[in-house]
Amino acid sequence: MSVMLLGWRNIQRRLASSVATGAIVMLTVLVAVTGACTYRAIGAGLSLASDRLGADIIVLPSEVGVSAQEALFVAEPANVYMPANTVDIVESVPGVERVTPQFFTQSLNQSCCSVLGVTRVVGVDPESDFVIAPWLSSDAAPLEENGIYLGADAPEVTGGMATILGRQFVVAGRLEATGSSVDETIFMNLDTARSLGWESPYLANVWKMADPFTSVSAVMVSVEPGADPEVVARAIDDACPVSSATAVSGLVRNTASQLGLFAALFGGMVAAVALIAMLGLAGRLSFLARERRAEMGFLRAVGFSRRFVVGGLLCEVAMLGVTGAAVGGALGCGIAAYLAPRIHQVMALPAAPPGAVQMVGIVVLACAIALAVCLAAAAVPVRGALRGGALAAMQKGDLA
Amino acid sequence: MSEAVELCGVVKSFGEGSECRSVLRGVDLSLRSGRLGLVTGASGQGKSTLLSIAGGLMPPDGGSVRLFGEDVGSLNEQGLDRLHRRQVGFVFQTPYAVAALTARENLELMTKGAGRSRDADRFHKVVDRLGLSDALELLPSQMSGGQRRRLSVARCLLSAQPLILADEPTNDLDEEGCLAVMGLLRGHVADGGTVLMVTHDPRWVSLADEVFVLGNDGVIA
Repeated sequence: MSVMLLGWRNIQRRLASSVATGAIVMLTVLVAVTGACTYRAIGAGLSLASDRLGADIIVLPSEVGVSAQEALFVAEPANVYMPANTVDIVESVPGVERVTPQFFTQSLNQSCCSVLGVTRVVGVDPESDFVIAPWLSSDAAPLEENGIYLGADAPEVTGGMATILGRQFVVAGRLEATGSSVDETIFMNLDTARSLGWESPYLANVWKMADPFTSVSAVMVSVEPGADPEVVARAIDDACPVSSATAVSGLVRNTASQLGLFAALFGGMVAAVALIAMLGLAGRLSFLARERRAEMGFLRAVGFSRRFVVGGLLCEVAMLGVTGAAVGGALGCGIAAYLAPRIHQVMALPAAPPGAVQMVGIVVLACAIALAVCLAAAAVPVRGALRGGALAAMQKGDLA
Repeated sequence: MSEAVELCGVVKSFGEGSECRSVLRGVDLSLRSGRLGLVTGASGQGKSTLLSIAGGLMPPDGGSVRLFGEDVGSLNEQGLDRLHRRQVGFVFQTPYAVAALTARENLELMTKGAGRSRDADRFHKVVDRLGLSDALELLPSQMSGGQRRRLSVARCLLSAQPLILADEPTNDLDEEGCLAVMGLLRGHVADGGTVLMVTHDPRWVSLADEVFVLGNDGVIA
């Protein structure tokens, strides 16, 4: 009988005790992996959004209930508008290199109108756009009047055709993931978006007496090399009172700072849970070694080597630790993947959950750490149990 | 025939200072191969201690122990392990077994550990004789005290070490069980093996080739 088989028999035939030990490892790893993956998902999303947004400043109407953070990170439909001449005013501000307008509208859930549910639809100007163009797939066609681009996480359409507010559109391309609201948005030509909104009876209450053809929802701004986006944003605010300009870098920095506080609090809690669990694990393994003291002494007395006896118990602990960590790690990754989009929606934070390869890496790492911790925690009491020789272990042990 | 067990001037005490209790005070014992020796004496005289020292499980404070001519005191850990695997089998007073293994798995583990290939005929003969056939798939926790005792004896006999040191091997056993155990131990001796056995039961004196009485003065009478 091999050391491995002896370890397995001990797990199998002391099931309650084995489950208790494995559960401690599993829960510890579950908490640690969920916390780390969630933090990483938000951090990675923030970094991705910052890197890929393209715009240095976002200009939105000043008197509406949507913040730059929501506009950037959450793709909830927001029907907010300001005069179209804002684009010209912003463009004339010193330090501004390029501007491109966007027009926000939305699809609806009625089956007569849309196959895409309630989704944010953004009209873009293909001539001036510099925000979405870099993230278009290489096979994307130019954005014609009846064409749409889909964000990486926008609802799937079949057959390359989509019905939005009663009109048929051709899917001209898909965008790569950006970690921002772009991922969940449908893009179409600026004037098409305007006329679509204007013609739809379902959006009549949005327009009332307003004219969408002289409105824009946002102006995305790129600043000249060397210009400070926050200084330029203040200059835009001064030049255009109906709008509010926000430097993306400042927004990302503020969000990162909030995330840092969240991470410190959450990390502290995870560390406390891990510490308590490790103490529990050390106690559990110490009990396990005491429980087996007589048996280990007996095996030594009949001539089994110290390596076999200690190895059998360590093998058992290793199997429990690795199994517990694998289950806890997989569950933790699953929970983090489930939480990421909800955090994205509820907290208006970008979130890019780990991919399948990263998840496998995390589970493998969790198993390796759990294995090392379990072996270290078990080695001391196991060696202690055999101190004084086989006979002493048998006499001190309580197993007959 | 050579000596299987030789104890010379063995001294052992427990505790320190005023708490020190001297148990063995210069024990000399010699048992030749192919004989059954019986150690008797009142409770607390050190019979189990003597057996542990004879088997190399406990170092004496003084004196020497030789098994099959080899000085046990000169053996390192690996040497002692080899001695216990190959040459000395123990029937302990407490019938230990590996709790997570069935009786059959315990016997197979010990037989393999002793370096013996499995002999199915002998396995069934010993198991049947000891009345363990129906208990082979039980875990030690599911067995009675008597069954575990018989399992200990079976383990030693199947491991086939030439010297068996047995501490009260008939405890917890009914008459039939006692006779089976003693019959098998005698059979081991008949096959050329050696048994040194501690017992309180005077019935077995007649089966012994030699009897060693450990007196309250800590020496063999």
